[in-house]
Amino acid sequence: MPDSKEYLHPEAIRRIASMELRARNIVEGFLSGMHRSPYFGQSVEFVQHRQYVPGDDLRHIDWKVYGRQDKLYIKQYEEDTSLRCTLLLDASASMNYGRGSLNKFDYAATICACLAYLTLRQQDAVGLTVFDQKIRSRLPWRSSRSHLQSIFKSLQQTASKDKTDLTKVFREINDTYPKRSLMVIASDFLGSEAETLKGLAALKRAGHDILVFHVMDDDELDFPFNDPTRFEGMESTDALTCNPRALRDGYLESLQRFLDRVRHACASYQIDYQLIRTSRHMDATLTAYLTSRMAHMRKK
Amino acid sequence: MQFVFQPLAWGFLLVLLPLLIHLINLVRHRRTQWAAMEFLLESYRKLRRWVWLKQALLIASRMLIVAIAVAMLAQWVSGSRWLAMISQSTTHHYVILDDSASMSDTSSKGTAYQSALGAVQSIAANANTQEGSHLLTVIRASRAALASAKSKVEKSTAADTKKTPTDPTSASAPAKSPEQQGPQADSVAELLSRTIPTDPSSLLSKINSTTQTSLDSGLGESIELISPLLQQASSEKSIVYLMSDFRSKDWSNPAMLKQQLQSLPTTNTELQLIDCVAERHENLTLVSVLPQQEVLAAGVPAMINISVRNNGIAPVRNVSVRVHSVDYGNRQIEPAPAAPFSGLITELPPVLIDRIEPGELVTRHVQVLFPKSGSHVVEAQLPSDSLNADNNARCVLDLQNGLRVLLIDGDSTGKHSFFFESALNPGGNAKTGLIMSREGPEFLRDADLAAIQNYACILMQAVPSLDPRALQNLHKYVSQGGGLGVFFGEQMSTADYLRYNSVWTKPIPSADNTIPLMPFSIKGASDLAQVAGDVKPDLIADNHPIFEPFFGLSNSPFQFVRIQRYLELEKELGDSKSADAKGNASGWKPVATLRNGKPIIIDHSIGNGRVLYGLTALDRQWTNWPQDPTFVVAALKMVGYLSSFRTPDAARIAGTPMRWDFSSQEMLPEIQVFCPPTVSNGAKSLLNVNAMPAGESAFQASLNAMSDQETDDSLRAVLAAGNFEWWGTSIQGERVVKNFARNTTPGEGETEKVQLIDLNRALSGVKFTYKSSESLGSNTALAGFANRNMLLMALLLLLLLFEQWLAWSASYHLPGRKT
Repeated sequence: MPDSKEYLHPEAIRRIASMELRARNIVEGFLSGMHRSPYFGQSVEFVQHRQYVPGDDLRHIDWKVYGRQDKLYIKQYEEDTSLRCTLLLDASASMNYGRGSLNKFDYAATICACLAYLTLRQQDAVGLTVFDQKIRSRLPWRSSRSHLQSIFKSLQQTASKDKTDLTKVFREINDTYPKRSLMVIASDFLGSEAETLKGLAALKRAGHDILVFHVMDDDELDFPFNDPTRFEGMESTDALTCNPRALRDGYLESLQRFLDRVRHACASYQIDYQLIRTSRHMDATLTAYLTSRMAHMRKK
Repeated sequence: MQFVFQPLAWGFLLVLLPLLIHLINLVRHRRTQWAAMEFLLESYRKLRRWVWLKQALLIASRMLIVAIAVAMLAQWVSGSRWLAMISQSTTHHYVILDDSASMSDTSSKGTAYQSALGAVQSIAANANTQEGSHLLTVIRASRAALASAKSKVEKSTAADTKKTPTDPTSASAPAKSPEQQGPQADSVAELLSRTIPTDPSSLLSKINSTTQTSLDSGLGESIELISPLLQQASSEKSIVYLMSDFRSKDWSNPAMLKQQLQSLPTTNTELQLIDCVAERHENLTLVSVLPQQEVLAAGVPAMINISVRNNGIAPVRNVSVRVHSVDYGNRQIEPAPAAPFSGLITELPPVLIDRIEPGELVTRHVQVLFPKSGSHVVEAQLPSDSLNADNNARCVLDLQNGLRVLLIDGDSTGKHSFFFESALNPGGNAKTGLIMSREGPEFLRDADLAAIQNYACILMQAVPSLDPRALQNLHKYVSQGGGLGVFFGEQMSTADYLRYNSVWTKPIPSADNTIPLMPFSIKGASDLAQVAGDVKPDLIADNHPIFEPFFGLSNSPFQFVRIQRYLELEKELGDSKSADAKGNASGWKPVATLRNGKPIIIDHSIGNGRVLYGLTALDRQWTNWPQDPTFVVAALKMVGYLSSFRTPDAARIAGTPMRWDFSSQEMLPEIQVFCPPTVSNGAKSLLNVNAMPAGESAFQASLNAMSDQETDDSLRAVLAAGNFEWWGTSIQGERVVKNFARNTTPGEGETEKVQLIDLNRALSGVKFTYKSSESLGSNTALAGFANRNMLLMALLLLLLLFEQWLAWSASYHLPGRKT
């Protein structure tokens, strides 16, 4: 029996062209490996009992039934469907970089697809906004299963281009989604650092719970270039011919400072922040999402 | 820049390789789209200068590493003292080998010359264990001396040619520079600037095959020869080795040598005096074997003087000198290459010398008789000792059947020649070997010089005056080695003396030698005052060869000689030595005086010849000496003396050129020369010499060490000491032989060694080290201790480490993989 984790590997994901299949494989594979069922959350209205199966949360065992019948049953409640999740996907030109199995955009789009699938599986409402320096497409919150196809279609038809302008985009999103929701942002944030932080702050001030997936390619984090290379900017006309090894330390230092500033800003705004390598398995991403969702639900 | 392996210097082009690779890498860069340009540009702006600097340093260090590696392989030679610390330095060993006869000294193991060769091998062996490259130049003193002498001759010839404006070739010939005229080291040196290989045996094989010569060559010419080389090669370290036996005679006061050594460059030049003889030892030297100056003719007994010197430090007793004569008078003899002499060898009774004090020269006489004419040899031999080169000597007696003497009589009746004729050719059984001819003064005018030169000497009596042409012939005759005796006549007047004073005392026009025939003026005839009771004889003989038989007598043999009248000179006469404007030496001195101290016989030298003036008339009115028995002896000795200066070489020192002049109507030009056996092969060498035409119906065959035509082998043969047999063939097919005797210079037997303290004093101002040839080989173990290659390797290693650190520092190394 193949390991369910195999389905979460970017190399395996790359081989699946359909975004729907990708999302299903990833989510189902991810969920099958979890000890705790993520499908039902806490609610006040009891629905039924179900026999305990391994992986169920022990906190939901009905100990009174166990005392009477000497069998383990799980109490099931009516699920809260008030969660609204907004997926914000960066489709700027810089997201097109990637020498591995998936480039940053593919990886971020797959994350969005998975989260949409997972959210709708839990009968929550999910919306999608694709942006670069402006909002390029927008799907409102829906909880119907048919909405999933719209999201997949939108993700597959989008191609990354243009620059990033998060301040402008986030201002528009605030206007578009006035209600508080769980905002999931998948971006590399390679634009103006100040504008980025300013945009996040604006979103936070609007009362949204924000989960940031900072998607970076391995090359960008490790800068493994050895031979003389001419680097040409993907969002600018800048170009530099250099010996990358000579600039590596300085580059990594600058990058780390940037990442630290973003991380600190997110922490200060109480924004969940995840730095995602495009070479990593998707499970970390999904785990982070579920943790954020649960926190969001507890607040409600 | 100089390199030992010059072709490898092209490897320095590899220095450009790191730069080229860097440029190629820049051109061959790949392109990539990059999202995080902001951080890359920030890093670039921050590190731009530092990265450029490190990159430049890295390329420079890599280029330097390649350069050092190539320099090591090519063995860079640097003249700079500081650069020499890291580059390969070149040490040039200049070896000057004293190959004079004294180097045949066998007081230690082998000869001193072999010790010197061993020292050369030690130098080569030591060089192989030391760092850097080593060059070797070996010059033999004899070859340098010959080249120097040859150069002087050529210069002299060139100067003479230049003075002749009518010679068209001299005008058109380009003038040589002084450097071109001087001897060049490449034509003299046995080895010149040869790199010493790991196995130097093949390199030294040529020099090892050489032996000492019989010459007395000094080291000065060799030092002069290497001096320009040292000046030119100022970039390399030079060590000059003077390998000699350091005898006192050469080194006690070597003013010229000191001057030459001081002229050598002092920077980078080291002078080492290598002594090849341990200590002084006893040595007897056969200084000379020469015939006495008397009439030498076939059938006339000849006296041979044999002189032996004790050059040791203790008296020597009972010295026995072997003497043998070699008779070549037999027409039937043929060349005998295997025998020491082709002639008939007759062992003579040995000459016994009771005692010879240190430094004393003892001369003994031996009488030899060769019945037939020919070129005969007399050889003497001392007992063997540590220095055998000076134990043999010989002389050649070229004897004719008779010696022709020309009598010139001022009187046509020949009355003035009577006494000479009677004394020199008494007739009967008394054989003097002289053939007398009497002519009038006009003969000297009418005869050509060749006819006059057929006479061994000329005796002239009572000639009142001579024609200028006769005077010119006489002057030439004497200058070229002839002997002239002049006696005045009783009937000569004051006008005749004045004529003598005006003509004979003036230089002869158009003559090469400007010394006049008569070096004094005659005042006139005077009477010798008779003093009653004076026991002194009228004639007092000086120490002169013509009175040699009277030496050592307790009483004067001239007791009964009376001289009434004599010719008084203008001024007091004393010993005089002078030279004319052309440098021709002149000397004149009284050899016999009167009771009153006035000279009566004067010996005057002109060129190679002599003139004896008898300041009286051989007439009863003037003197009774012709009637005294001593006159006969003196007359014979006088003829012997005067004829001795035209005698062909009886004996010369080794290396002296040999020449045989003969008539083309008598002999064929092809000559075979059997040279004396050399030390190396012990056999006679045969040289074929073709005589060259020399004037009308004359041939001239010569052997000259300074000739360009001499090969190394023939040169070695020509420079040997011994007897050279020249064999020619007459027109009738008979073999004709002529001998040349060449002896070792007697001075080579002076074995007294110079003391180090004397050497230091004599060479004050010259920095040198003095060591023995044996000690030269003991430095091998200590050599090579400091190997400069190790230093270079260490430097290269440090540079490589620096380069690696720089590359790492410039982030040129990939980070370690993190698991």
